[in-house]
Amino acid sequence: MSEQNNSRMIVLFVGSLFVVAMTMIIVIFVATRRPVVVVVPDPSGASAALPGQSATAPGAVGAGELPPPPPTVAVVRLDALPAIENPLDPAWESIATFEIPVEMQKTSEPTLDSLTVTHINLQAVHNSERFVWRLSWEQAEPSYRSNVAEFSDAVAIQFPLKDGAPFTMGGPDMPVAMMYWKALWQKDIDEGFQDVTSVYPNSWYDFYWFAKGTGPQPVATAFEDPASHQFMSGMAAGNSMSNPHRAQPAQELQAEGFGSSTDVPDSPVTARGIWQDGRWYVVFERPNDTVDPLIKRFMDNPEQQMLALAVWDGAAQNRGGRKHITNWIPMRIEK
Amino acid sequence: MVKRFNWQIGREQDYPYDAPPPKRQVAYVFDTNKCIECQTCTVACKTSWTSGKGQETIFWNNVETKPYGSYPQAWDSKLMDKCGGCEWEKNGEGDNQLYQLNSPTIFEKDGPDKPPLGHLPTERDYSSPNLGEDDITGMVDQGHHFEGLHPVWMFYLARICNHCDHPACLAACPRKAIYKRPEDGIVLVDQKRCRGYQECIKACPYKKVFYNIINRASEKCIGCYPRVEQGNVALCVESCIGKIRLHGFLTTDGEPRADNPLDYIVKIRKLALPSYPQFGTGPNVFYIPPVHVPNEFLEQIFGPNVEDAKKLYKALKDDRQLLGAMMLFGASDRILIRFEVQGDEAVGWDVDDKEVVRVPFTEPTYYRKHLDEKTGAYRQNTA
Repeated sequence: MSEQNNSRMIVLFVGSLFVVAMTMIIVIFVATRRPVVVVVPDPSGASAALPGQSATAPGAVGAGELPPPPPTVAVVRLDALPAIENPLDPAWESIATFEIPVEMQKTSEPTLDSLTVTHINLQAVHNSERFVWRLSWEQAEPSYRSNVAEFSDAVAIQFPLKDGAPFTMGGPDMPVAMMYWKALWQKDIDEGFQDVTSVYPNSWYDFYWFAKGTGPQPVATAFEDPASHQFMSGMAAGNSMSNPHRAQPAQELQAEGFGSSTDVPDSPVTARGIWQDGRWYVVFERPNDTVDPLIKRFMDNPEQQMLALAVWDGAAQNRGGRKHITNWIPMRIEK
Repeated sequence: MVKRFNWQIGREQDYPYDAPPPKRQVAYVFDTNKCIECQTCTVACKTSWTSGKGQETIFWNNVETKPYGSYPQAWDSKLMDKCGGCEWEKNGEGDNQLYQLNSPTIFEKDGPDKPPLGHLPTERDYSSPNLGEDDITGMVDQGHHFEGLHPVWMFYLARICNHCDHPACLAACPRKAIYKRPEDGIVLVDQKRCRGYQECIKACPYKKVFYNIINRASEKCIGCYPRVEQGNVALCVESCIGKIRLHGFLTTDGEPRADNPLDYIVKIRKLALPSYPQFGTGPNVFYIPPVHVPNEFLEQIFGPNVEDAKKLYKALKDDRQLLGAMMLFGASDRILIRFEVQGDEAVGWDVDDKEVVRVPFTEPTYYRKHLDEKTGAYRQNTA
């Protein structure tokens, strides 16, 4: 008899433990769940609510109180567009500016731990030939040295390539496209490839194997012989980081989730950035070419497009996932 | 995070990825007692692999003087500071003696799903690779003499990538651009995928991943894999004039084999010890600790088995099997995967199971006549 009682007690005890554990698991699951928010803008083009923009990133500034819904970014149609060569073209002054708050990337490790950029000003225009976006943000001093523990300022615009792609760099079979500009590459273009002597003006090295001429043997001119690339493994492997003959300070990337971004060769993206009086001004341009899958998406549904932004503060050691981001922002292409 | 067993700390530990062990694990034994810090290994590596532009301050192989030398500066003491003290618990006695680490590894210190605990050196830390070289622990005062233990000391620590069982560089890379080869456990950076975030440099406890300012990507010791694939030892091993290094493979698909010189020295006899096992990466360069250095210092580098290893080393002359394995150091440029002591010789076989080396326990002595009758020349004793 007493044995029966014991086993009943054990069953009751284990059963109640199971119920408590299941309840805890469900509570934890619900409490920590981060819904992927995909915002489809209001077809009327009016401002669309952006539920959970800050709630999706716990710890971000303003978490807990929803920010005012961001306006739909209008891509203004103009006959004559500002010149891409000059990101400070006065023509930009008459074009609507959207002030877009950014938050810390907290979804995927490594995360950003301190917010050093608060918002990006975005302007967008297009005509029958081109799309142009201008981004500007406060940056007390520019960072563009290539060295250990030093990182470059950078900025990027992201677009979904499929409906429902998460703003967190897309997802499996949910690709996104990005236009990415980097201050170090801008310096490469403006002042020539940032060589060892750019980082260390007083450095000397006797010679590099199979490089042409005598020291300092600039990478851009003295390393034409393929034999001279045998120690330059990144360059020899075709790494887009290691290109000393960069044509643009920007590149196009595609991704299907964090850590998967891959550069798209022969991208039509051009860009130019200028730092002036404590601000970066960066212009991205893309030909209005319907063969381009992204432009085709724009044309198929000009009223309901989306973009997201990211900005990296090099001085604050931002790189990779350590970045400031936005959720999807509705974008409307004016006719 | 998954749980993976780390034999060097005697317990399971957190690691972001699970994977079967490689078919065999490349490994090295360095005898610190024999190293004279001639840097021949450093130069062999530098001229072979890192003579390019952007690699000026990169040394995949370096030799530093302990306690004051370090390249990059304070790579080890900075991480020890961040980790706090480590705690070892002794279980069992004699042959069954095992130590278990009770303090957190770098994968556990900051909590689950966080990047490994680390620090990112700056350019200054790479600018003086030989700072502290040959510095001893104190002044040699008048009257100092040797009484079995040196009152002041230093020793040389030769360092390469540890091709770890649980690499922190691999764990830290958000792009999965670092991989461990299934065939031999060599850890490599994908030179096309790396975007130069330097997370691996921050995470590697040994600071053996480097940023190349021209390629703008990370680079590291490649374990001389093109040579390993042909059964040859790494260049730092072949060039070592002091014959302090043995290069081979640890068995991963079963029990350690007594006829595998690496298994025998490292796993069976425990003469050689991993460096900083408490960090939890399972390094595969094993050091025979310097017998003249106090254990207090050595134990923070090589873990709790230092005294036993020292005792074994001091008794080597009467330990024929272990001495036989030790005689294979620097004896061949082929990787030895099997050895035997046959009579008065230690014999080694390479990866093709071909006998490639036969080392006598006692070198023969030759007496030569004053007059060389073949050439008619007189030999001078110039000693």
